[in-house]
This record gives sequence, C-alpha cells and structure tokens, in this order.
Amino acid sequence: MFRLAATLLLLLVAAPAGAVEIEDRRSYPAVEEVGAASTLHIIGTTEAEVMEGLIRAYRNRYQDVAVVYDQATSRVVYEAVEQDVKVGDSPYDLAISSAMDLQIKLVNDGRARRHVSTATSRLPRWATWRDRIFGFTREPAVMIYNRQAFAEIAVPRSRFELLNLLRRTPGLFKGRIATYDPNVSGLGFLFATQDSLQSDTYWRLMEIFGNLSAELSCCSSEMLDRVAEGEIALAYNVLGSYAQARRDAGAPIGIVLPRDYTLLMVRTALIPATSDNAQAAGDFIDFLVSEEGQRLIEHQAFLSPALPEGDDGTLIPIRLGPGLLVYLDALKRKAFLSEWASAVEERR
Amino acid sequence: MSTTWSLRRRLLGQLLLVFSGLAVLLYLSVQAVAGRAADSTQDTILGASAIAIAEQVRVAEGALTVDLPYAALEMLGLAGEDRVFYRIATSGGQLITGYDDLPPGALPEQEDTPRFFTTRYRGDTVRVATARRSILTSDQRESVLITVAQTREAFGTLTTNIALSAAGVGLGFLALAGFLAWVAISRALKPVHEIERAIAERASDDFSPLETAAPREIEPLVDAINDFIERLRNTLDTSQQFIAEAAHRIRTPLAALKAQAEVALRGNGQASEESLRRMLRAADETSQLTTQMLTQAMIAYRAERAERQPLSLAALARTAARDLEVAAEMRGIDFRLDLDDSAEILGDEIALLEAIRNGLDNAIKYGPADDYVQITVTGGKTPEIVIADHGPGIPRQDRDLVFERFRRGGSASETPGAETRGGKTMGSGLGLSIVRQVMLAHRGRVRLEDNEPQGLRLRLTFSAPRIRS
Repeated sequence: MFRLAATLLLLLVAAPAGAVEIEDRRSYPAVEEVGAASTLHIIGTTEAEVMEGLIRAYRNRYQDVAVVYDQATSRVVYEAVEQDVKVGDSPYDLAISSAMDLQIKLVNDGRARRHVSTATSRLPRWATWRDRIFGFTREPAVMIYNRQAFAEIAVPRSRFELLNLLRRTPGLFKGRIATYDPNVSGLGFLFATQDSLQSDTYWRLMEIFGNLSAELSCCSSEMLDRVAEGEIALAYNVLGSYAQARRDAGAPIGIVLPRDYTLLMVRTALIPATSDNAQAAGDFIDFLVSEEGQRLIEHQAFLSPALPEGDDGTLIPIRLGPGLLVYLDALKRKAFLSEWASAVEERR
Repeated sequence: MSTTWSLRRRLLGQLLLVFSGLAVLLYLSVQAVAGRAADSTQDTILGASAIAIAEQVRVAEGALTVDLPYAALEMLGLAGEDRVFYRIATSGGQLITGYDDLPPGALPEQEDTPRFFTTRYRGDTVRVATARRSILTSDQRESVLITVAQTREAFGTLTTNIALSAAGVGLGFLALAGFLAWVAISRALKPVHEIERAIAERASDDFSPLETAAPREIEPLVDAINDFIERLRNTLDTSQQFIAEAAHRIRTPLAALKAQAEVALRGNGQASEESLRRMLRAADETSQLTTQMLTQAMIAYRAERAERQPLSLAALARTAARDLEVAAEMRGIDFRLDLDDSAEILGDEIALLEAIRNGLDNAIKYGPADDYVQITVTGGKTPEIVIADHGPGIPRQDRDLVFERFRRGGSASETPGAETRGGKTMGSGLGLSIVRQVMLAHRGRVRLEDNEPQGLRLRLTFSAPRIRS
C-alpha cells in the first residue's frame, strides 16, 4: 500500500531538479532550530517512502539537522556524484544506491570521501571498501512464484530444479515466466553478470527463458505485480526485500531463495568527495549500520539488514571490489549484452 | 671525595645505545627488504592481470576489441582495497577501452614479459604494469598496449607493518638484552662485592691475605690488597717490636743507673768518683741508645717515604768518612778510600748517609786499633760500596742474626749495654739492622763477607738507577 501510494506520489512530483532528473524530493526540517542548522542532502535509489522512517529516526537523534532526500535512478545518482551536481548551492552529502558497480566506480575514481568510525568498523569485510563505501543492507536475488500456479506442481528450490521443470513442462510456462532485462535495469545487469560468473547453469536457464518467450522486465515491482496478478507464474532474480514486503502485504506469492546459491545485493552509501556536510553524512552512515538503524531497516523499511551476519554458505554477497568495474567497461558490457541477447532474445 | 659513577649504569647505557642503534637499523633494513618484497608481490599480480587482459584482445568485425576478464581486476582486489585503473590502446595511442588519461608507459619488447613503473595518477602514487599484444587486423599487424595500475596503500601498509614488527622484535631484543646485561653485570661485579664484604667483616687485627675466589680480571686487585695488607702488617710488626724492645732496652741501663746511684748513696760518698763515672757511662749509653733508636725510626720512615733523588755514591762515602773522622782518630784508625766517582744511585741522602755511617761505625768499633778501614765504591750496573775492617769478623752462622735489632756480632753478644773488648767498644746492636732496613727500602742488598786475611767486609749493593722521565 505504502509503495503504491509512493509510486503515485512519485509520478506527481517527478520533475527535473537542476541538471539531473529527480523522481521524488522530500524535505525534512530540523526538529530543533539551534543556531545555523545544517542540511544533509541525500540522493538515493531507495524509494523515498522507504527512507522516510530511517530519516525521521535519524532526525530524532540529531535534532539540529535538516534533511533533503532526492530519489533518482542509479545512473542519475552516479552522474550526480561524478559531475558534482548541486542542489541549489549545496553539493550532495550522501549517495545511496543499489548499483554496487557504479558506487564502486565512484570510489575507485576518487569521488568518495573516507569515513572511519566505531560503527563502520563493525561491518563485515564484504560490506565496505576503502573505508569509503558502506553496505547497510543485503538483499537476496530470489525466485518468486504465483502460489495458485504452483498449487499442483512442486516448487523448484534451485536453478537446476527450475531448469528441469521448464524443460519437462514447457507448455505450462510458455510466456508465463519473467526476469530482468539487463539492457534496461542496472540491477538486472548486475544480477545477470554475477550469475554468469557463478555457474554455466545461468546460460542454459537463459536459453530456456528465450525458448519460452520470457517476459523481460524493467524492475522488481513490475515483476511482483505481474506474478501477484497471476499473469506470470514465476519470475527469476527478483529483489527479495521487495518480494518479502509484497508477500507480507498479502500478495499471493511465494519466495524461493535458490538452494544452490543466492546472490546478495548490498545497498551502499558513500559520501561524495565534494560534500560540504560530511559530518552529518558520516553520522547518517553510522546510524544506518547502528543496531537501531539495522532494526529499523528490517522492520520498517522492509529491507534486509547487513547485520547480524548469519550465513549458511549458499548466500553469496556480491563483493565490493574492483571486480565490479569489469562489467562497467563499455566493451565488456556490450559483449555481455550481445551474448545475453543471443541466448535469450534470438530464440524468442 | 671525587664524584662517583656507576659501572653498571655505564655498561648498561652503552649496551642499550648499541642495541637501540641495531633496532633502528633492523627497522630500516627490514623496511627496505619488505618494500622490495611488496613491490615484487604487487608487480606479480599487476603483471598477471595485464597479461590476462592481453590474452582477451580480439579482432571482431575488423575492429580491435577486448573482453575484459573479470578475474583480471578482481584479483587486484584480493590483496587489499586499492584503487585500480586500466587502459587498453593501440601502440599508436588509439584508445580501445579504459581510462584514457592513465599514463600508458612504454611498450614492452616481449609479449610475455610485462614492464613496471611507478607514477602518480589522480592524486595517488600508483604502480603500473604494461603488457603488449600483437594481433593481426584485417590488413595489418597491430600492437596493443595494455596498462594496469593500482594504488599502493595496502602494500605500503604491509611494508610498514612488517617493518614495525621487525622494530618490535628489535625492541624486544633490546629489553631482553638490557635485562641480560643487568644480570651479567651484577654477576660480574659479584667478586668485587665479595671482596668488599670480606674486608668489611675483617677484624682490625686480622692481617691474613684475602682468600676470595676472584676471576682473573679482579685478581690484580686482590693481589694489590693482599700486598698492602702484608706491608701494613710488617709496619705494625716493626713498630710493635720496636716499642717492646725499646722499652726493654731503655729500662735496663736505667735500672743500672739507678743501682749505681744507690751504691753511691750507701757508700757515704766514699767511692763516689768511681760511682759517678759508671753512672755517667750508663747515662751515656742510655742516651746513645735512645738516639740510635730514634734515628732508626726516623731512617725507617725516611727510607720508606722520602723522595728518591740521584746521588753520587762516592760523595756519600766521603761525607760519611768525614763525619766519623774524629771517632776513628780516637782509635787510631784511618780510612782508605778507593772511590769510583761515576757510581750513581737513586735514594734518600739522609737515610743512606746514616746507613754508611753505621757501617763505618761498626768497622771502627770492631776493627783493631791503629789500623785502617778500607772504603771501596764501584760503579757500573750495580753500584756497590764495600767497607772492610780487620777485626774478629762474624762467624758465618751468626751473620743473619746481626741484622736483627739489638744484636751484636759474635763476641759482643752478651748482656746489652755491657762493655766489650776492653770496655772500649759500645754498641746498641742497632747499627746493622738500620743498614739492612735502609738497603731494603732502596731495593738493594746487604751482605757480610770475610775479609782476607782476616776481618769483615760489609758490602752494600744497589740496583742501577732507573732514569725516570
């Protein structure tokens, strides 16, 4: 419900702000106006509605800080930091994104500021890089299915089982399966490339998806809508946190964390080098990874907290590191997408 | 009191100084070695990455392209969290992909041998590897230059950490060395403390030598102390003996004097002239004895302490002979001198004169009247003075005894103070003992020999004077 309302609101306020395209802007005045109040300018891919609870809790702790949150796509977030886009006179102080590769590139290219604190030192190694980027969630890439569609069929628990199911009963799934279109979605591209690194099963899966005329989607929410409605029986590589929220809201969907391995996307925050309010930004990061922040992320924001770090061995966090730069390489991206197209699209 | 200093602290200080120098040296050398090792480790990874990329350079539809291998950059992230840059371009500088502004470096000559250099890029020091790949495009052979760069924070930290550990180890050794040095010094000083304790605990009349087991280095100290104790004992012995004997010797003539006086008193003044003469002789004898004893004490003191100076032995002999001329004449004795004027010795003039005078006195006393006493001085390496008389001499077996205090040679060895040889010769028995004492103090020798055909020869032999600067 919230999400739907947020989407509507988003459509209403969507307007270009400055040089970049902002989907939603929310301003929160300081709780207490003490002297010259500082303003924390955040740009992020996370929906403003989801961030609201976190921002309010942060303001309760730091009462003299006003916050402006701009929601944008991951590409816009990247460009805002890369090109030092201003909000009025101020640069952005914090960039939050689910596009790990773009965030890593910002750090690698020296666009992020170092931040060290007791709070960030608690983070596991895969959640930080160079003390400049901090993962505060880990969200699995899951399979979702319509419960009615699978009323009489065993739900596949791994990619291999899914592959077998689709091969055995192609008729049931023709045109009724979906996945991210990596050409359109940055997150879809990240999942696809990481999948291709994990195993060859991915390519065989994509070939079958092509054979079965899979629907290619821009975003998790769209896939969730279609599965909930029953038009699509199963969607592969949907963001688990969104699926969880949707299921908790009563949608007739089931969630599978593939047993062979489940990729974990890490939502990250970094302080742009040009920030003029790095203190407040650092406080915000510390708050996100604090116990209180992590609890809020789990219960209010419907994201999965980065801590505590329980791992049964099949959960594979996508590593924050220079490896992520590889698929950002224009030639590499082109080569991957063309390989992907030959696996999926040409068979449709 | 002069300022004291601690041997222990000085040794410890020097040791620690040396060791801290070594610790710094260790830190610097390990840092250099670790730095080189880190360089070579980073070079290995960078080179592997560059070659991995080079292998993926292809020609697709007539154009150069590269399928950047995931591992090529991922492996650079394994060693640390350093920034990574790459550039792939034709040897002509045409960018294929990557960071166009990255310094490309020189084209390596061999395809399988990357080249390395260090430069600055985007505000950081980066280590750079370059690799080359020759590939045939549609119409010609093209060289592709692959450049991979990485910042050096992790390797710098690694180097510093290794060097710091080394310095830590060095400091550990320093502490250990300090402790061991402390223990070693304490142990080394233990014999000194033992000597100190042995001397402190010693009774003031205990003159036995120290018997602590001293190491070879300390032995001279123990020897010196023992030597000193021995001399102290001798001095005290001499003094005590002197006091005891002097008291005894002086009491006897005084008692005689007292007896004479009593006889004189009883004789009602009749035999008074004879009595008075005897009393006078007894008083004379006592006086002479006292003088001689005091002289000996003075001489003994001088012989031990007085400054040595170069002296002519012949001059000394002449002076002594002149001093005793009158006494000799009284017995009709004259001196015959045979003096070598080149004979020179180091010594104390007063003590030596006294010794020679005693020798001459002895010769005058015991030699026959109306005779001569021969005085001979010879020079050379061991200057000598020989005093020869023609008296009765001293039997060989008694010669050692006469050098002891209060003893007189053979014929005169009766009650001290009594007259001998016709009542003319008086002797205290101190004469030769003074001679011996002076000679010993001058590191010389004294000997009694038979004179031919008869008599006694007193031979005083000196060691050659050593010229002191």
